[in-house]
Amino acid sequence: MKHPEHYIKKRLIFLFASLFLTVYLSAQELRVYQTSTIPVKDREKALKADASLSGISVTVFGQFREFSSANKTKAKYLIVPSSFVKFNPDYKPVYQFAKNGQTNTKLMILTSKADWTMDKIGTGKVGIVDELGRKDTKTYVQDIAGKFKLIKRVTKPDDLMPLLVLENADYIIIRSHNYDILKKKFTAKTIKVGETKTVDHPVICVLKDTPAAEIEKLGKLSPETIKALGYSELKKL
Amino acid sequence: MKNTLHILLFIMLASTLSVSAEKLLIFRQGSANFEEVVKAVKAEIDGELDIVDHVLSKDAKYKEFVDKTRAEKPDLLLLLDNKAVNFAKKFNQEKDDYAKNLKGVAAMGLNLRKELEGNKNICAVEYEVPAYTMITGFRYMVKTDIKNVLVFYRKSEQQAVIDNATKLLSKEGITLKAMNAEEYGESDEQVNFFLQRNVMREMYHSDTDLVWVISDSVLLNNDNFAEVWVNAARKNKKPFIAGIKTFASPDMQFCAYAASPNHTDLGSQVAEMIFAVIDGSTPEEIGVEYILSVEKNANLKKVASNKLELNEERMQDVKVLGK
Repeated sequence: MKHPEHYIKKRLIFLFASLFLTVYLSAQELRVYQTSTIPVKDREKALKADASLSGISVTVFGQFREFSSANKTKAKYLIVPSSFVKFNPDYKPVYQFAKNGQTNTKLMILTSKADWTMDKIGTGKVGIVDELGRKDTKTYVQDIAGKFKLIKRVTKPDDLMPLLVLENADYIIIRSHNYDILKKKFTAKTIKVGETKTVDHPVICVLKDTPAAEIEKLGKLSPETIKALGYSELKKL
Repeated sequence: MKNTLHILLFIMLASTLSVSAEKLLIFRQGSANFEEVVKAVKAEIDGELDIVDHVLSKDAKYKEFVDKTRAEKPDLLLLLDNKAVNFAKKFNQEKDDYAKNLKGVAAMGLNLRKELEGNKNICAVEYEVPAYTMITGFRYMVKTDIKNVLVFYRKSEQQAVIDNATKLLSKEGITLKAMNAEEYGESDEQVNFFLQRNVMREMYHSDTDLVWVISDSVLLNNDNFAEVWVNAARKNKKPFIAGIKTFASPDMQFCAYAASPNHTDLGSQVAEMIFAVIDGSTPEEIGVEYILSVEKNANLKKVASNKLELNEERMQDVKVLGK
């Protein structure tokens, strides 16, 4: 019969190995959250197949809450809406996604009733896809569009049109390419009443102490992967 | 000594802060769908409110509701079924100011738009999937255009549902032909007689593209379900759609499509409403909202027998049942 000390040693080795693996894997993780109509599995498949990300574990989230909950233990690399970096100072943006040469866009402010003009936003409810959580969304929306009476976050772009048509909200804020996709599903008439300030497209960001060599590696995403994420270029910041 | 004093002051301050969080008391049933909604609500609230979760048994009495509410003294109630809603409405009629003014957010109850008509203390998310969501979801999935939808309803209970559906569907260029199944009277027998005479007959009209089945225990019952509804769906090529997933089960050969509540997203929608009340909006101005997010379920056997062609590239968020 072996001495109990033998088992204790074995257990300790196992414990340290598990701890090392956990720390190592979380350190090598890329988490992705975008407000996109492109299915999560398609984006995840493209990122996982990209040779430039070999050795990095990739998780794509369909909802901000899931992403935010997972990222309580901070992943080293993120692909997130540019707004995220403003409210999360532990991260710095290192690459900027671009579409047809443009690194930013203005989001559309739509309504379904002509009465809801821009000068009435202070009394109206606005819907937006959640990309920051409750408190930061309030600040962000006020910053880019003005002060609405109430902000209603939805979990995915698909829910924005029903939100407006079913009159759960008076306005919605939506990216124009998401709107183009939703128009195929919903033909109800909408009225564009305004635009937000300029908003940058999503960014790749890293924890602030990330070595330059690792940052360099992230910039080598293939054109196919960039396209699968809904963009055409990646620009270094 | 000075350090001890600082620690004591810190503990006092911390306890004051922790006590100051508003309290939400949840009354709900114990089944899986309720668990899922509550889990999502808790995740969204993420420590911003104190939450007490209370499961009401099927035979729970009003006293249990009152005792728990009086003991916990919540700032807001979350009422997850009709029983909880009815108890809260009764509680709001008690004599003291606390009971009279206690506000609530309701969900997962049936016919809440009607149940809460004129109510100033409770706002809600409707549990029934709106015809608008169901029909636009189905239209997007198939290559056939949907212009005319047939529905049978009970005027005494569902007139507001039909009026809203008519208004919303017209925004999509869809006409709703609504037949009042209580035309011969409101008793179960009279409703059944009307349905026996009219479901099949109306379906053969060439301008019907789709039949929307309202989930209602008088319209659909043991005496007419197989004989009237399933029989009509099997004999005719017109697709049937409903808000109950089981109806689109391939074994049943009844509905081609069903859109049922997405309980996790419902939890997020409910949490958003809770925060709106906490932030100062009144339940009266919030009112009763439609459920937004649904699980889309398709019965491909039935789609094929309805001679419909699918838009394959649009099936990514549709669950194919029986696969």
